[in-house]
Amino acid sequence: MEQGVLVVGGGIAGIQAALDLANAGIPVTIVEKAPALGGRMSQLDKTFPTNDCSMCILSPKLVEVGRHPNIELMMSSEITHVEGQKGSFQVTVLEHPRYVDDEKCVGCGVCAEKCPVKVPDEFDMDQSERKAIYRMYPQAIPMTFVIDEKNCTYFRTGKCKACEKFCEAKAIDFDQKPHRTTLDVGAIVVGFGARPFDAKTISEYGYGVFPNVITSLELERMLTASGPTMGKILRPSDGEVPKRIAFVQCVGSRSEVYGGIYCSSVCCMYALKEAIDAHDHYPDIQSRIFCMDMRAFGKEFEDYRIRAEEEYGVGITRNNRIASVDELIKGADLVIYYSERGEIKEEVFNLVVLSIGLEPPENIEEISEILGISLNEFDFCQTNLFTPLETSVPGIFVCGSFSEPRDIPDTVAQASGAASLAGALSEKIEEGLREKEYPTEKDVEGEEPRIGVFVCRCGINIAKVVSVPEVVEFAKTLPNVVHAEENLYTCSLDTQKNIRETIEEHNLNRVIVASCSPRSYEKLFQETIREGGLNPYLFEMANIREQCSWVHKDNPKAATEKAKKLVGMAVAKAGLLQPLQTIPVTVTKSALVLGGGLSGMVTSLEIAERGYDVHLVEKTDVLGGNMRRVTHTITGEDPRAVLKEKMEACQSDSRIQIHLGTELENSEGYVGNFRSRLSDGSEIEHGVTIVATGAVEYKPQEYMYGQHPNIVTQLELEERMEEGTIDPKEVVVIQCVGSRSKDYPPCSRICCTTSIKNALEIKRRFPDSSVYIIFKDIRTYGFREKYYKQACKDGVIFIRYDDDDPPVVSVGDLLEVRTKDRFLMEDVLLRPDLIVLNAATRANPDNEKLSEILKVPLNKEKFFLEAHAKLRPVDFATDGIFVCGLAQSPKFIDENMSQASAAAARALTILSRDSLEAEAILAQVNSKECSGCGTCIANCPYGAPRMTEEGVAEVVAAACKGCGCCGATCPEKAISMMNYTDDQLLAQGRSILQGVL
Amino acid sequence: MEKEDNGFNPKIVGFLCNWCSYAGADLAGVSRFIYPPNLRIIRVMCSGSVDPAVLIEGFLRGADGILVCGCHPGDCHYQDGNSHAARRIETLRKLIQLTGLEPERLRMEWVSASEGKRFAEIVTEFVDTVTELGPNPVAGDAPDIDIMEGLYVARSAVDDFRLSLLMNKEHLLETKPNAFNRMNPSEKVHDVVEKAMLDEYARCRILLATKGQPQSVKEISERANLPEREILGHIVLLRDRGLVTMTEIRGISPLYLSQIEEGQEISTLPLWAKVQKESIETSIASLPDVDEATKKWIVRELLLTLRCYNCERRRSNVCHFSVCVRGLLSGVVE
Repeated sequence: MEQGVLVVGGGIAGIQAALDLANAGIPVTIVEKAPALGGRMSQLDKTFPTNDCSMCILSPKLVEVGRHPNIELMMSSEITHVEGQKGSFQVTVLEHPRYVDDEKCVGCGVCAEKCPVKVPDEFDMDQSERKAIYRMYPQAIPMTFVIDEKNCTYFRTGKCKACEKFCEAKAIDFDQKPHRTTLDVGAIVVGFGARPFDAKTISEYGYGVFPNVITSLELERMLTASGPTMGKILRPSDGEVPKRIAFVQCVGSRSEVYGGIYCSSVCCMYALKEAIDAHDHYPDIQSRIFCMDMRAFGKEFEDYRIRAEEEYGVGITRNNRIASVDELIKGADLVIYYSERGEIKEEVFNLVVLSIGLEPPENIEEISEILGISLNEFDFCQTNLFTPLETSVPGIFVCGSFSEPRDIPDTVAQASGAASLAGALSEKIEEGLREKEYPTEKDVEGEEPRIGVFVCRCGINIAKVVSVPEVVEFAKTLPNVVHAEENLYTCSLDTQKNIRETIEEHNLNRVIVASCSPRSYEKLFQETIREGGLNPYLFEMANIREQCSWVHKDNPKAATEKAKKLVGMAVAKAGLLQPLQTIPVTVTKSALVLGGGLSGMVTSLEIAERGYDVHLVEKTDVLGGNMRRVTHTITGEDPRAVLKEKMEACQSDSRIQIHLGTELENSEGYVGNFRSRLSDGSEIEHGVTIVATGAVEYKPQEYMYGQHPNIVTQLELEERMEEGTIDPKEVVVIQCVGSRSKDYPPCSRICCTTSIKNALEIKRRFPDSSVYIIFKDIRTYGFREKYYKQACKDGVIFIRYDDDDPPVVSVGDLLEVRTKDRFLMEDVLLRPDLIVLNAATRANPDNEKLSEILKVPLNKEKFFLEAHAKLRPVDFATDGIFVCGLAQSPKFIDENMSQASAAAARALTILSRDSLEAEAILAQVNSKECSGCGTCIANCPYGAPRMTEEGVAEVVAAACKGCGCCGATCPEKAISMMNYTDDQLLAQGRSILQGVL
Repeated sequence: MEKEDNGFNPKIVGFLCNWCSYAGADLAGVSRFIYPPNLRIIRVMCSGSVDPAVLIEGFLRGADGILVCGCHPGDCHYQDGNSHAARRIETLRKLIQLTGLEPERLRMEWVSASEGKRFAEIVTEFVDTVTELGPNPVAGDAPDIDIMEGLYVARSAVDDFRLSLLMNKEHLLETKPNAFNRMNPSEKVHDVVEKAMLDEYARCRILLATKGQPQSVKEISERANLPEREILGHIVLLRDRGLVTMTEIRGISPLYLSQIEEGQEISTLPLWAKVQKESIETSIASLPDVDEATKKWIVRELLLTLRCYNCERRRSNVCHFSVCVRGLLSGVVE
């Protein structure tokens, strides 16, 4: 087995896979075609459904990849040849020259300033210009500039070299040549992503002809504060802010004529997001989305859709594929014809946005041939329902949109999952991390504080509201501040380099960054100052974005004053900061997996395969979970066979200890060192906990369920079909039973496809029967759309109903269903002999108890709440505890499989370590002051303080979580929290109140 | 808008826990929910880590309002730090009321990481409340000396060993069984804590009143704003602790003088502890046939016994309320 994994593609999929592998001790090389990491996500302004700023959440990951000792980057590169088999591949990589020396370039940008050549900037979707020497975007990793050979005057005419002349770092090197490298790796992960559909293909929409028809990605760039219009929406024809925007959905999706017949999965949500975002920028803007179905199927998506409609007044018009867009006035307003409630209407818009779908990546035939992997009928990567991360070549894994269009959280889960599978085929580095050398830590003992303050403009995020120069000037007047400056982005690599140099230059011994929330960037800056020779705890942040510029944008003057105060507080505290050291904590190398369904079993098997013990705890007396009730799959695989195989694998694996009929009773401890008690009396020690406790089918209260034997749920239908106890002539399926209602707004994601699966099965078994599906939206996203088309062709009849006018079921001599077709606005009466209720997938009722035991949160529907909706889909905020499968939210088998692998990968980043670094912010007992009263021992939930033989308390560092509750409760004031001492808090308080008293 | 009713622009300090409330405040930012800029946020790991003394100090230094935010009950990242904080702040509000400062200026709220909107609403509403209350009476050029003195005394009172211990353990005493494996009735626990708070506040007031100048009970009553009949009891105890001495008898009135020196905190704790510890150690030292470890143990046990938290019946290990807090605590500790 070779050491190392090759990750092809440097978008969010590749980044996540690389980080999980690298953190589990496996060396990774990322090969990316573009000159920088980030992929499509780096172009986005916001992300749904949390409206997190895309760059804000991506950038820390970029930086982590950029500085990870186990990760090597090969940018502007492509693979040209692959040989070997799983466990041992030889991959040839062709690296194109940057013509800029990585080692020398400081990213100052003078070269781009001086370069005379302007070309359209593809990063801004050609809406702005860049130079022939450029950096893709300000936060790009690597930050090194690159020369675009095709457009460079020197390469075209042999003259110019302006960049070389002005580069003070002497980084320009026109003599660089392309070169090939051969890498030996154990496995390959491909995350090519997908390509946006070319809207010019559909001439009816006039893209490229009518100036005011733009694509969603162009709007996305406009919305971005650092984009071509600096966050303004300006329509191309006259630079005016539009009042009315139309979003045309399914451009290149769900079409037999243009693009693919599949659904691109993300467009409905991004259209909602852009509509909300546009409204946020300009409250006058009215948006209307024209779609066939509104596919808000993910976790919290339906809430987002409701918010968009109710709070932001976004109009959604369903049942419409817009036939064409016409110009009302040449080069200006546009008109769209559509039908609503049986009437044809026309509406005028100032701007039309085409929601372009996702296509297979460029040159995919060529690349797939090099890799030897098969493509499916849509030219995406071929995968199977039960092996969603495996390509047709063993040892080559796939993640992200290359296997099917998908959103960021699904991509991230897949990336982690692929990391788990690929990691099993590579040797790990003995010591876990490649050595990273830091300069010797400067001894600051007894020194007067010398504070450096770095104030971030965050593009315009802060600078638009807060007067940054004023804050800098104010900082300079504060005691002990010897240096203050402003930065465009303090988080960018060049600024970090600047911080390290400034520490040296001004002999700083405390550093303050005034920028965003410390929750996202504190770690990064701490590492930066460590690299600058300072103890990382001599650092403090002032949050002048989330808690200042963003919430006081209505009052720039007061916001500037507040920003000054916040900086003052940080300075006051910084003076009192002390250097701290982290303490290594050993890791118990076994896992506790809760739930023996498909997800739990897959996770257990993958962890066991890597050589770690697993305790698999299942509440019932048998493994298998909800999958036991699934008799067939839409893609034709046999779920029973797979389930049997997984169950047998679990039972025969000596590393997996199965506890049936058992529940978790108690769990305490911390990452790497948990101790849990099970109801079978066993006490187990484990390093990680994985929650895979599944979900339950909702028991309908509506539509006369339980009043008639022929009113059944989908799972019951499958059971009845298998028993052979039905022979239906006319079947009515009612969608969204217990989902998408006033009382329970979320969508259950899987029901539409399940309906179609079973409708097709009924049609197959009983060809003379008729099947009616009464629905609100059909949400067969991704390739599932194919089966929707199939069902239509097979004669399944779809009737759309309105929320205000739901179907009514009555039980008399005959079953009756009355409903109103929303499209034709006609009443429909059906007399079926079988009614199938598509019951919601609801949270497991045990979740509440479990969340209390594990101290992890639930969302309002009682599903487990992950640490971050986008980028940490299987993590909890508490280290060492993970979630996967239905316990997190409803999802399909392949998605559960991916998440289960992802949870394994995340767990392995801990289990593969011999020790972890514990928090350095710990409670500390001053034994002279301690009276031994025991209050801290009684109050600490982690059992960290204990009594010494001397009769005073001491704190066990590894168990301490650093909450500081003991410090506040110590009657003798003998306990203090390092760097959160009362003195430090008071210093901050005093600074705020200065001038008041 | 910054609230500027009659030019008053309240200064509000917020202590937000890192995991829920600070994240909630960040979310308010990400979602661009506007709120008034009067709040200055101090990030703490847990709302339970905010020392009561820090809060009172905040008011002494002129904060017009203080907002402590933690995770919702049951959601605490550190199990129940937030519940400790809530109980403590309830007692603190009562204490603040004694000083004459409006207790509404101190507020505890639950804000989860997903409640950006709620956070913005709470801040807006709290700023309104504080604006209505007007400036902190101890801030500015003409501070209200009475209230300032009250706060100063309260600041000392919360540092007292017994009050601090009871206040900080209130949540545990309520939720965990005592040494006799019985649950302590909630009201009883509240009563004990409230009584301790009232006592300690009164004692610190007496210490302040008698500082530097011997005073009669009547004079103390006036200066400390306490009923005469309560004073003698406290004086007896303070004399026992060596914190007050009788200097002379004027007419028929004995005069008392605080032993607290100029510049020294008016705490009832340090001196007392030191005196006791020394006297116990001296007496134990003379015990024959006892090894060092046992001696240390005896000192510790005696010290704890002597500071019996509820009845303060010194040299007695028997609790007359049958909810001996010492007993309760041992139940919790062991």
